[in-house]
Amino acid sequence: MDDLSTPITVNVAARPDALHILRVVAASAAALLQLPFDAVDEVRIAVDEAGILLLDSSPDADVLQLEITTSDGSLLITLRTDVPATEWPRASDRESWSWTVIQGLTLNPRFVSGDDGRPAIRFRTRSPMKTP
Amino acid sequence: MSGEDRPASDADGALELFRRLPDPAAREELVERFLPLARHLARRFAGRGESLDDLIQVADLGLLNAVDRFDPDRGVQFTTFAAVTITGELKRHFRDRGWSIRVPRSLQESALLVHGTLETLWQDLGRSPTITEIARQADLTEEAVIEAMDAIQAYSPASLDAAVSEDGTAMSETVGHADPSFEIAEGWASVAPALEKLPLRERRILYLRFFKGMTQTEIAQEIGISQMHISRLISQSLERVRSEIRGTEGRGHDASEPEGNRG
Repeated sequence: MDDLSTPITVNVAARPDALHILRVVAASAAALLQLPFDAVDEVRIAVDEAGILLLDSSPDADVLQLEITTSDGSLLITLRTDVPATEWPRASDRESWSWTVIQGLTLNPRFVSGDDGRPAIRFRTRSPMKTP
Repeated sequence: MSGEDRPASDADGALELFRRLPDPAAREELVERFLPLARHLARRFAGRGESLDDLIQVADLGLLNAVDRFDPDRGVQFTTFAAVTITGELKRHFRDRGWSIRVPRSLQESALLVHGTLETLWQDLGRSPTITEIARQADLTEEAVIEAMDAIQAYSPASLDAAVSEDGTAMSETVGHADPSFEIAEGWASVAPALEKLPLRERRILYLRFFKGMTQTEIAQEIGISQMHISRLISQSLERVRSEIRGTEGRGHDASEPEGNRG
């Protein structure tokens, strides 16, 4: 299987100790696209950082959601919480260490906010390598 | 981070409390004041096979040690000192107990197998292998490889952090003598003090990854250590910078400001 024809959506408790579930799911999706090991490793890190940033920004959240789709041969990953934010992103979010790391490891990272005001972070992974 | 979890500031009379030690009331107040920092650091290590309650106990113990060992006359922020001490205590906890007790033997074996297979394939292919290739070579499922990846990162034995490369070359030789001139880009400037506390090798790796845009494989070839080692060092370095930043949060002033300059 080398495509994700159906988007993956995973909901976990908005707790740091649930982030490893999202890391594994994201790594599994990256593996399906035949990303090299180091790229899969960095998808894990980026998902972790996005989760940390959202948990820091949404202390009242109950649910952290991971959504993965494919786009132009790479993964489009979105993490969001279930609680609308009054301000998103805050200046501190943009200046956070997590955001700095996400920017360094992913393509086109963005803070996004849905119509319902739920804060989200979206980024794209590297394109899959072509193995000989 | 919730308000109640926000690390306390060094200001607001903390130094005065340190000067009152070993007064039990002052010690208790200091511990209570900086408990949110300990709890926050404990949660950062959650999800790696140890219960959060256990991690909080370890972090609290680290905080107690930090309070008892802190010397306010040395010009170091207590939050910085405490973050390093608590993080060290948590890492020791994992080194001492995590791998051998909490991780199922089968996962330990898979992790070691994946580690060895990655090295072999990396050498053979001259590039980073895919999960599929690792799974095929190691005769594991892809799911098992991914589980092993998480385990490897969470439970790196101290020996893997040894400051020599696989061929025995001293790390100082492999990275050269010049300090990589960190051209701190916007967004990194605020963490420059934390970055400067990283060892030269780790700084160089972050520089190559984040500023030069090199892949882990390319960095591994440049520095002369394995890709798995690079992966681990990147994760650990990011964590160290984060801990350092957490330790300096909430002070409301420049992290480099000398202790004596605060009101």
